[in-house]
Amino acid sequence: MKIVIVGDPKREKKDAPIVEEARAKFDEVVYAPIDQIRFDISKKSKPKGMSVRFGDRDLSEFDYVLPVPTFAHSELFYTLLWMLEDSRKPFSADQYLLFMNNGLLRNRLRSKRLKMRGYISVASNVSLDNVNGGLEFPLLVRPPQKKVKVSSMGTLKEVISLYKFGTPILIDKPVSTDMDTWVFVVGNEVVASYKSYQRKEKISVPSVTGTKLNRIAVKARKAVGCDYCAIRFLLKGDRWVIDTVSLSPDFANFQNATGVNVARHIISNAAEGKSGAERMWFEKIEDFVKRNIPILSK
Amino acid sequence: MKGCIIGPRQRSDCELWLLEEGKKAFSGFFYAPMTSVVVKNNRVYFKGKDLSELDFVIPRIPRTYMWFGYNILRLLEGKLYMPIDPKSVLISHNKFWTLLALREAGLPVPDTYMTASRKTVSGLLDEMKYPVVMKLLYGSLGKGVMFANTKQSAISFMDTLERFKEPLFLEEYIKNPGEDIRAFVLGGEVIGAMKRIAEKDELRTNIGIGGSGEPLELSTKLKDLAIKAAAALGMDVTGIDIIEGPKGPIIIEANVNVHFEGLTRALGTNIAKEIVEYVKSEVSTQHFTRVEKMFADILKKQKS
Repeated sequence: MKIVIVGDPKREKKDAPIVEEARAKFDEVVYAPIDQIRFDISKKSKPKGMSVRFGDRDLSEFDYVLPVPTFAHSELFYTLLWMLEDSRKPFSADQYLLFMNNGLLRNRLRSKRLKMRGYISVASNVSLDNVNGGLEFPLLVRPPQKKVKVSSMGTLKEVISLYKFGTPILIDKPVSTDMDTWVFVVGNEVVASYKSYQRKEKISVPSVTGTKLNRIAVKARKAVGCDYCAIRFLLKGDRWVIDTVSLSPDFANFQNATGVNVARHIISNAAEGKSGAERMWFEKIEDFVKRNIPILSK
Repeated sequence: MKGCIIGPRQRSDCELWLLEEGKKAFSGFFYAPMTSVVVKNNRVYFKGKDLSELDFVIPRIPRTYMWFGYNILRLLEGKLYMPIDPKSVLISHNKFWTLLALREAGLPVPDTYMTASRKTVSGLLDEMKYPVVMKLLYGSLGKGVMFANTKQSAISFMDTLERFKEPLFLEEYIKNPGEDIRAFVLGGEVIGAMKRIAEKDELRTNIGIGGSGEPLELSTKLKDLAIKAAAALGMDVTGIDIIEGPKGPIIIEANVNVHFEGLTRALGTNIAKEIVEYVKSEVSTQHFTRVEKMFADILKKQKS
């Protein structure tokens, strides 16, 4: 079996555990930096008139395509997933689209009745004057990368103005806690978790997550439809709140904190023939109806 | 009926015309600049007003706001009428994604290649037949389109485009006499078309950079092509650009925020009014629940 792992060259070292695990399970392993991938729409590319290539290799020939996406190249990763629609992979292009936009991801999780903090999203600091009910500070500003805490409207506007015009910026209230819990879910199982204490020195310890948190984590994974994901939880009072869902966590962090090789779980999942694109039940019905409606309408 | 245009802060003539016609046709119609739109907990607001309470929106979302615009339209989807699929905002602003969607639909598009690596582009340049077209992924109005006659000039353009930190986009050049066709598709019909002719010594035909337009009656074949392209991209209102190449017509671009100043002048038709009338008729007949919309879309596609 052949696998191609498509990553961001800037995190090639972080992705090394995945490549190493893949070598143990697959007959052929290729690591392809996303910026060297060539996307062709060409009459010469049979049969569909399009192909995705790395060097002289057509990526559709691989048994499994494992993207480890980053925001910096998100549009290229989306293109890859779209063009390799028929390939086995842990998530589809439409599922990845949720991760390209924080607001959409939150909408999806909320629609599955998962606890998310309230938020607002703007693309310009001008719109802040129109926020219903005003804003209570401090707030967390979450542009596509790296969050920033702000304590006043003036600072908030300044921070937003630093970003490229039109960039969607999500703003929410910080949760007062000095501890977060990271959970790694593969399929219907939480395979690893750790607590991270933000004291003078960051300490990460393995965590035995209770049934409730496990249930929430698996539900979140199903809500986004991918085969696996890492989720960061914050405890707000007695409620678990999802802070982040990631497809590209730091694998070494999980291993160092928990002793669990999450990369091995991802690769086992791939080798066992499990494919992503777990669709919402409604989408499956929609497809069924669309396939059969010509018959029904006759 | 109440609705709004969601568009750029700086309104073009097209947005102003749409606003003018919309105010005549609807009881409540206003302009919501993207800079003043706020999403709060899955709801979209403009100056405190929940936009999902409207009957329709007409999106005129500029490229810089495409991700925010997509989010807004996804939140409003199923709650009111909009003449484009939310994903059209993303697909149509990205030139590669546009051609990909059209190729997937089996429509003729130029051979096109994209990569973010200079090394990969250099390899590609050896394979290309010259001249080639090099583009920015997100250019508009003809900007960011370059024609390279040799590999050496292509390398010079590549050096220039690299500073924009966008993937590099190479397209086969379709031989034509400095002309292309802009077909305006509205509601599954071509309501007008014009031939756009490039200025002397220029290969780009965009009106905005000096091209001229004259009305054109399209053949049935070209009309069908434009209509299929609009459907493939999920747009009820769009401009489809076609070149008549030596081997037949080729679609080169689609425009989600189609500018219709040139077409309005060329045809002498009030395009803005036609758009507004179309939206009005659709709002009267559309159902907005997800299931009903799904069936309506399927039946519409079957009829077309």
